[in-house]
Amino acid sequence: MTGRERTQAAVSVVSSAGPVATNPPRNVDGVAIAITVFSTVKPWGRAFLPVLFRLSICVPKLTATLVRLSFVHFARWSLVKQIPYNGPPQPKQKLCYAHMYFESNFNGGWEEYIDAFSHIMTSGMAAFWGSSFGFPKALPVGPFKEYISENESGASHYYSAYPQATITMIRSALQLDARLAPLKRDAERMDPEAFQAAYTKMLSDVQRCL
Amino acid sequence: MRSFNVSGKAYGFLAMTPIKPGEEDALRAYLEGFRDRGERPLSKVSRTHMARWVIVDEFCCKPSYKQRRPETLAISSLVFSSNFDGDLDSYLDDLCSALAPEAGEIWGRCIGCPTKARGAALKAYLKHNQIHCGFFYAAYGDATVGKVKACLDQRERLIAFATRGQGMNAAELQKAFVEEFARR
Amino acid sequence: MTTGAQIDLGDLQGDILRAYGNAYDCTSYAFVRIECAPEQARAWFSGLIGHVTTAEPWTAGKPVTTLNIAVTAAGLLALGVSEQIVGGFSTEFKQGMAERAERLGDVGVSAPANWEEGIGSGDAHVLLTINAQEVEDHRRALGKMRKAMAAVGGLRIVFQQDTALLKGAREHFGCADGFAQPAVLGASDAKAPGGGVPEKEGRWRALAPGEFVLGYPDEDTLEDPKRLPRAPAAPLGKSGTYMVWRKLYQDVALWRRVLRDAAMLYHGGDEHKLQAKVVGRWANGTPLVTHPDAPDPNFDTAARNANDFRYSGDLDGRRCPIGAHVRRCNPRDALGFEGALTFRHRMIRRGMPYGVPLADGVMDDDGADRGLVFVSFQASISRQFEAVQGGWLNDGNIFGLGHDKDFLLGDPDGTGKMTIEGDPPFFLSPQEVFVKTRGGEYLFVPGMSALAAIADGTTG
Repeated sequence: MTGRERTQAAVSVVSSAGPVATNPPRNVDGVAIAITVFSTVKPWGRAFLPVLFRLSICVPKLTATLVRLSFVHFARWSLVKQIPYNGPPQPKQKLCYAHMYFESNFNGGWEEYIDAFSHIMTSGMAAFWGSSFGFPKALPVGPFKEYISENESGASHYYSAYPQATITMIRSALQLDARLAPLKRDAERMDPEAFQAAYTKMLSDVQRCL
Repeated sequence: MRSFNVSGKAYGFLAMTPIKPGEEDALRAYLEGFRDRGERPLSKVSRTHMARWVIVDEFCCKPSYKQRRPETLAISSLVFSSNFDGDLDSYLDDLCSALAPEAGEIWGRCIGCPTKARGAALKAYLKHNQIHCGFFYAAYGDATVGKVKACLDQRERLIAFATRGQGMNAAELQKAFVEEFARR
Repeated sequence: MTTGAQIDLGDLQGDILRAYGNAYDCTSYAFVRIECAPEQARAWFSGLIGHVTTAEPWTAGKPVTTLNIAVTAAGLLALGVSEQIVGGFSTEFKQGMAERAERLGDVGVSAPANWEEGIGSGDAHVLLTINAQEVEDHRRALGKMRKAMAAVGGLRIVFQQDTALLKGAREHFGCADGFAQPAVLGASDAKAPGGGVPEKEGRWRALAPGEFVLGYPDEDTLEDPKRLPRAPAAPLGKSGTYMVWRKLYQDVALWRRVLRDAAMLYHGGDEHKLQAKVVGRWANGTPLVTHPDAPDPNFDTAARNANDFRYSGDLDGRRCPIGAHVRRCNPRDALGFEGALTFRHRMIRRGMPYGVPLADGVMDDDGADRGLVFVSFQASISRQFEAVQGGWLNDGNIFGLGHDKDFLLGDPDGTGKMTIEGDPPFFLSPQEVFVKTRGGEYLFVPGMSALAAIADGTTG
């Protein structure tokens, strides 16, 4: 089985949303899913992509949708212009093209994930992959899914430090901690009634985190 | 260059190392074996949020891509990618000592890896093969792994507490809350 | 825009795009196993086709009974369709529902190992669905069906479920059910507000027919008019659809007891309100989001605007809880992005309750079998049924609810609670197994010419 065939087999199992507990594919740890994609970049992309990367860092608005979508723990795009050399027997390879490495650590089904990115981050997807050979447009979703699937490499081992936690759970937990801190600090020395009122208010404030 | 690898406290590290000819299958079997044996070696490197090992044997190039010169990888490579908290040097120090038993089976199967695949020598090898990020996104980059885990645990306990606290009077509620949250 | 494509109603089986309606208050589902040679099975099949009810409008009044046919992957093979052709059907259809149990939440007591015999085991080949208006006609139709099978020999009913409408078109927990369906371009409900994709200024857009019937443009085709959705090769793909069939047992007494006990701690109202909070509608069907305090006594489920509501004015869930059942099943605009995360996950539902109701006020189980037969039609089982069942009912992350499962349908091994938003919030628990999966199948409903091709052995 080639690496590609292996990935295709794995991807088809994760294609629908929901927990996959027994015998999950190797790019899954609990509810976290790994996607790894290499794409070959056209000559103009070699110059364009570093500008896009810098803009994405400097202009938070560009990533606002990614934040709002809440599917992704960590993601990255890297441009591979040359392969690091380690001496023989590694063949010296001068790359004709730059290749773009993309990885994502996300929650939800693979199909849902790509659906969301195709429909909602259409221009974002075009910006990052538009300069890659073979990229069909982000919409319709069908060819885009096939493109990602063709260029995807399956992980041999994937690890998450908190495999059952989703991004929204983590964000909720962090927000909750900030809100709970004053009550934890003051609880013991309050009047019971004052405590109850403060506790009830706290619950009202954090209910979307629970 | 380094700043592109960072988002808040989070760092995105990627090393791409060429696999020794003939070792690809053994390496894959070894890495896949962790799941089969219920092992999670990266849990020993506690600052790791999420990480992966991926064997990449080619770059996809279909005729429909109309790429003038088909180009693939000259040699299969092992990609190790980690999203962790804190600075790179101390993280690699942790990794290269905690994963010493496994590193020989993993990077030991890659070209150029030091014979003793651990410590400073392994760290230098991984840094030599680092591919820097162009754009790194972290949803909660300001939180360390420890903080994330502690907060997740606290959230679960608060949900359970909020459910059983319904129907308690003020004094009972306060006492139970203090026990559960203020004294831990 | 190609979504204006005329639907060939004569080639489509009935009850898919347009429901037969509540006049048909008895329905039987007979799962047949083919034990004879494919040629004999095809001869029997041939004999059935003339009696199959199509989607064509009825000009001479309602037929006394209706008949529709669906097949499993094993059934296609038993009818002599080649393995290569069957290979072109979707992965989940070929695997069958039992193999997909984990992602659907069919675990524990709902696991396939505990399912009723004959269903989900690979034995079911052909599903005959018979609807009747009167009990006598129903009995006669079933009798005819059995006689036709006996005449051929080597055909055996491995599982049969008879169902009947309850008074007021309710289901066993007492809720009005089945009246909210997707609006499909080219079908009768196309213009009904609330059934389609939510757009700006309160407008709604009907969904492309290809979301529910193969061979027609779907929502993706809007982006690329040359692309039709993936379907089995002709002649089987055209006018076909995938069907999900599930028998769901409902523990009515347990549900009533849990609600009664929880209502004692619930500060927001009584158990009727609490039930409405769990479901997202009051028992008579009034949407909670439009009527958060009391049902509309004049609510008419058949009214044109009965489903014209959305959630963007209630994003904090104070009116209708974010995890309420109907809100999970069809979030409309609740997930933002103008419905972009929800519009490709709709299903047409045609289920029926089964079993005798538990009398009002009875809080102890009587041991009777009662519940709901869930039936849905969709172009893609994984994108439409499984994404909702696995991702939206069996989990809560997309709504920001972590791993909270649907309180009614979810298995209790999740967080075991439901948050009812308010000031302060109420945490409804314990979640028990109110609904148990007793069996299910993934099936394909061929179009009329596809049925003929199967019967003639000319599927390619």
